[in-house]
Amino acid sequence: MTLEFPFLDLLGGAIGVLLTLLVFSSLFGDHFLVRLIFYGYVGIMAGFSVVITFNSVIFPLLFQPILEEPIDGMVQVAIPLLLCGLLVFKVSTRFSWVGDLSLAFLVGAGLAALVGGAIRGTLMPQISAVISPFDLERSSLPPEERLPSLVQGFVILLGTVTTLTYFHFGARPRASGPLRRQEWIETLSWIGQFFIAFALGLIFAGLLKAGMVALVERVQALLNFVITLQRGF
Amino acid sequence: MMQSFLRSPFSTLITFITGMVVLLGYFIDVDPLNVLRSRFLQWTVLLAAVALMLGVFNLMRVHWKRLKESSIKAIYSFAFFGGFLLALAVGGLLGVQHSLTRAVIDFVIIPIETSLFVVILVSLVYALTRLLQSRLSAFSFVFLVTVVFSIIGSIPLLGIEIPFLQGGDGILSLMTRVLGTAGVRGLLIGVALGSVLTGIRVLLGLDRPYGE
Repeated sequence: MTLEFPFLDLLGGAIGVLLTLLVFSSLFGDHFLVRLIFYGYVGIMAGFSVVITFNSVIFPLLFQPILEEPIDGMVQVAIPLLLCGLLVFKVSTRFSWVGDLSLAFLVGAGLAALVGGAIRGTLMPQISAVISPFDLERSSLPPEERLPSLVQGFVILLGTVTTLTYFHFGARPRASGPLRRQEWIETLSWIGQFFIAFALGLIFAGLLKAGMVALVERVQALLNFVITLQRGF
Repeated sequence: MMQSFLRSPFSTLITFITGMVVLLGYFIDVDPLNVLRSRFLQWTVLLAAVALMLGVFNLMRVHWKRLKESSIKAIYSFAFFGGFLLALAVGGLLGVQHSLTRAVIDFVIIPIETSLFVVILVSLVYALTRLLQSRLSAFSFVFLVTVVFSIIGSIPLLGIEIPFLQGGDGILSLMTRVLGTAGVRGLLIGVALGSVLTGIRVLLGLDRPYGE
């Protein structure tokens, strides 16, 4: 980022460096300045979210149709306007129940989108990907590569099933001792834990690597600022 | 009377009807249903945006109350309003493409967010050492070995590539492709099944997060 005046650029860099050092200082314990920064940050993010939400959703969907064609636009936005109006009652403790109708609409359509997305976007493609290595007739692989692919497919199938089994919590009461799952479920879920540990390890390593990139970026910014100061004076 | 009617049977009915229209629209390709589904989803996006606005309004109300009480914490609320008004002024009046708005993003938001991510990195490393100290089992050992080898295998150390570990044909790549895919796929299917089940329970009125 380069502003029109070099001084402002330097000032911006100084603010960035100061904020970085203050946030880093929170590692040694909570203090007044860090809290002040976090509250200010929450305020900035809330302000930007209001601006962006209004400009990109509320204005084009609710006000633009009325401004373009007042009568037709009013008819077009009548129901959403009513729903939004009812939702506003949610801020009142006394009349909060009036907003239940809009909330019911929001929950119904939102959850249906979630369910539809989960089925079409996750369940169907993932299940299809699990079974596709076993469909040898449609396989485009040369014959010598089919066996390794089949073995890989089997391991993936085993991992998927055992991982899912780990999250099966149905248990039957026993005559003696505490509630326990059936033996074969216990065995499968024990195997599943290795796959889960491996997958979570990969995810954790990804997070660590992203964190390291962020650390390098911040250290680079600090060094750049120091170099700019040295050149300036 | 009106209050209880709006709350229980009517809200459940609204949830069921809107949910079914949107859900069926995903699987049945009929024109009127598709039009209604896209209209409903558009209204949902609008309602979610208004709900976000109300959330921010509520946040402001809490901070305003704190400012009026003039407690010790009022200074934090002052910082909140300072940040909020700054964002409204630069984002709302000048626009998101203005150089001053970009400066706020580049010199305030990005340094804070990136630094917070570094703080998370330190917390994660600390959590990993705690795991080593207190809960070392076969599964935590697999987890740890995966983390260490994944980091070592991601980049050549001092320009030297470790044979069999790094590269597309390396053992790490193969294990990621097979074991990692299996675990993540199981987790993804589990999450999707859980989402479907929770969604259907709410759509059928067995759970009511929108009121009693």
